[in-house]
Amino acid sequence: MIINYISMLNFQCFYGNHESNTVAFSDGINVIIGDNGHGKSKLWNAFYWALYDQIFDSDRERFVTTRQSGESIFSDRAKKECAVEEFVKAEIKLEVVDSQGVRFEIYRMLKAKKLDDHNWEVAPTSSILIRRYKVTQWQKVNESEYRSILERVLPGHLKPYMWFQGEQVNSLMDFQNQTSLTQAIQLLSDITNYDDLVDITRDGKEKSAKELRIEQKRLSSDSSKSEAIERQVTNKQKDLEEEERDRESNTRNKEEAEIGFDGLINSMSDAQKRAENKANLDSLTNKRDANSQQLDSKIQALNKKLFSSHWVLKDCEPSITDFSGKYDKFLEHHYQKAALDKIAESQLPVDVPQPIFVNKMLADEACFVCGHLAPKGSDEYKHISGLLDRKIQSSTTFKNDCSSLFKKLYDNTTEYKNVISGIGSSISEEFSSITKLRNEISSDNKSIEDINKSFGELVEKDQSENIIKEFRKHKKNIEDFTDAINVNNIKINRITDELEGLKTQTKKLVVGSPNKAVEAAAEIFNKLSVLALSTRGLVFSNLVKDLEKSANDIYQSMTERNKSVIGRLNLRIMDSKTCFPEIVDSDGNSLAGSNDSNIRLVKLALMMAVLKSTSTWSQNYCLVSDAPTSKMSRNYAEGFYEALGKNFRQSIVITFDFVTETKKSDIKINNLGKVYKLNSVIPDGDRTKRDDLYTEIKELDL
Amino acid sequence: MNMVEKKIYSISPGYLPNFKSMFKKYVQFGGGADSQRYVKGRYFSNVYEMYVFAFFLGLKKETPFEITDDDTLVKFWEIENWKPQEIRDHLIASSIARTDIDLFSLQDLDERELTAEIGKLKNTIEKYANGGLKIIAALIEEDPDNAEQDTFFIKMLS
Repeated sequence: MIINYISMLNFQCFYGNHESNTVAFSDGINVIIGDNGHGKSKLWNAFYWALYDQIFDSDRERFVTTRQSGESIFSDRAKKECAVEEFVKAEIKLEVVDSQGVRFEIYRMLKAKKLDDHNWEVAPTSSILIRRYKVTQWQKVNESEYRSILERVLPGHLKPYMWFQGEQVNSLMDFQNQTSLTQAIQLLSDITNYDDLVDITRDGKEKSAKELRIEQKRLSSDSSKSEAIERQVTNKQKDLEEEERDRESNTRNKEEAEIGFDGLINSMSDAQKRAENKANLDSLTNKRDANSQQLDSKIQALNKKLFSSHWVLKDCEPSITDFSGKYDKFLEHHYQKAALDKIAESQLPVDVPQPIFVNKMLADEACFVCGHLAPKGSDEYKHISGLLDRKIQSSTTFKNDCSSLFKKLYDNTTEYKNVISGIGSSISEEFSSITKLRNEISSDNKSIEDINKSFGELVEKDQSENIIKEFRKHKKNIEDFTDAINVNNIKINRITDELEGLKTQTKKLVVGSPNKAVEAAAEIFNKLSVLALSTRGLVFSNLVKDLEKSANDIYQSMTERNKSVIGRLNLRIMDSKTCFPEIVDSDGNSLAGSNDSNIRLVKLALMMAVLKSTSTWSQNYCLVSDAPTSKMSRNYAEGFYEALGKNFRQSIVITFDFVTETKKSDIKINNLGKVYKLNSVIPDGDRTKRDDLYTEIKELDL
Repeated sequence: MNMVEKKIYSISPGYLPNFKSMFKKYVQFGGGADSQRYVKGRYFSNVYEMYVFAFFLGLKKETPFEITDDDTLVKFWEIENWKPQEIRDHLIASSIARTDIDLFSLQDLDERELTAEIGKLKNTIEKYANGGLKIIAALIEEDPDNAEQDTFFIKMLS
């Protein structure tokens, strides 16, 4: 997804509220500059914490979880200002937008209670909340969707290449290291299927054995398991009751806030304007809500129409026409044969009259049936003689008469011809109607926003500070309690589902037979693993070739400014699993003495090549990097930024490069987005006093 | 119901195992009152609905995916249980049209020959359905966000 903005509340060096710690981003290369120790890495941490519940601990030089980080999550200044027995809260808010334009807000929060000046009771885990902007308003997303949404912000397999720190580049693209190579190759193809197969089969035996043990244990210890489930049910029921109580309280609070809000509007001095606004607001809100409801129903019904309105049959006319042709031929042959059989049926049966009588008629040259004479050689004689030569005719019945089956198919398909030809316009109409509703809702929202603004102006006209504050407070309370109720509902639904699940488990605790198939599965997985390994090598060399070509294109573009660089990138395959990059001349000879920054550039080109291998990645996701060009000369850095701007829709680069505004012209960047400067401030200038520190975020207009 | 009809309606076509997760993602298994059955992201009420969709998609795009005897397919429900009937009939008729079965001769085949001919029909259904499933899988891979949209499947028809 693309990142709209990030804001911090009392997170590490970002002291203060969200408003004073917001960084908004646009398409293009967004640059965050700052000197050492001015909060660049803490901003990186903010992104990371919001999405992965981890921060980079520079002392330990590794990522640590919230639990391990403890109180270091919070701003020192906020902690200092917090009174004993009170709570301090750190929060990150990240707004992202997916490729379909749907916006999500991701909140990560952590609280800690101050026990005394040196001790804190930090909540064991952070909490996360995700909201989706749906048509008209922000709505809480069901917790079951969290993982999928976070994964879509940046899919796990892309993370190492999309979000990296400069120092990580070497290890990420260490092609002599089998792990890093596998990670890169995994992104390029279905080779992961082979890797998955290997993994699955390796774990297969272990898992099936474990499953068997579990199964056996279950069979021999029903009662204790039942007891465990029962205990869980009791706990869940308590949670449910608590949540329902919380919902009641929130509903009450919301109603009180609404009453307060309405009361305040009614107390405004400009009664006429107030009344007009109120009437318009009510009418627009009702209309908007009705439209929203209609829109929801339409969208919900949309997929059902695939079958109820036969949309699934769109464009199937050609095959139905072909079937009709086949059916016509079938009919022709079928009835031709039926007609012949009918003729045969109309003749006298074989042996009637019996041959003995026929022979007598021939001897007498007369027909015994009609009494006519039949002289030898006459047509009559020949007809009587023919009775002796009759063969047994087959009956009219087919082994399997399909005429009614095919007729039914023909009739049923022909009947829908008109319906099918109209499906295209039917879908278009439905989409137009949805678009119309969406536009109406959007326009009503705008009008509602204007009226609310007008209310605000009316309140301000009253020139009473208290009223303004109260007005805002009520408005915020309504929003907050509505959100809280939504959260309650989500939790209640979840607990209810869990209770249902536990009940089902209890029902399943019935004595049964152990599953013997697990043993056989382990053996099969093992064989598959051998097969997967043997074929994996074949695919590998082709993948490396493709990667090499793409990386070379990017590398050439990066090094255009530096004429000292000659050569191209070569990925030398060492065996079926490993390879390493080298810079070679036109004859393929290795160019010795490539400097460190050139090697870094090569590796960045490789990383970009990996990401470019699927076009949508570089369009749908944001590349975030901390100090990618450290240790690079100006020409190299420019080359990197140029390739970045060309290949990625949005990127965020946190860097030391542009440390002062006056140096802005030193490095040219095309497709520049927003530029911010971070500056840590300690009011009395004593940099050892971290508990007074806060960070200024200033947007630069370049 | 004669032998031909019986064999056609007993066809239980399958899909390749790598599409299993897709069915899990988009099919709402289980029943319930219609009004309560809408769950975001679960656009099909039954496996066969998604399968039928995939069949017509594969047919529309003319992208059959060759299924061989070596492929082990995941089976679900015999055709006779698929609804609505008119859509099922279109599927059968379209498959017959794309198969070299001689409809007239079909009537006089013995059971062994008949089984072989109906096997061709089953294979045709599977070819187009798996071809359609492959298209869907590629679209998901291309843009996972798009795959979350309510209009994801409808837009494939255009």
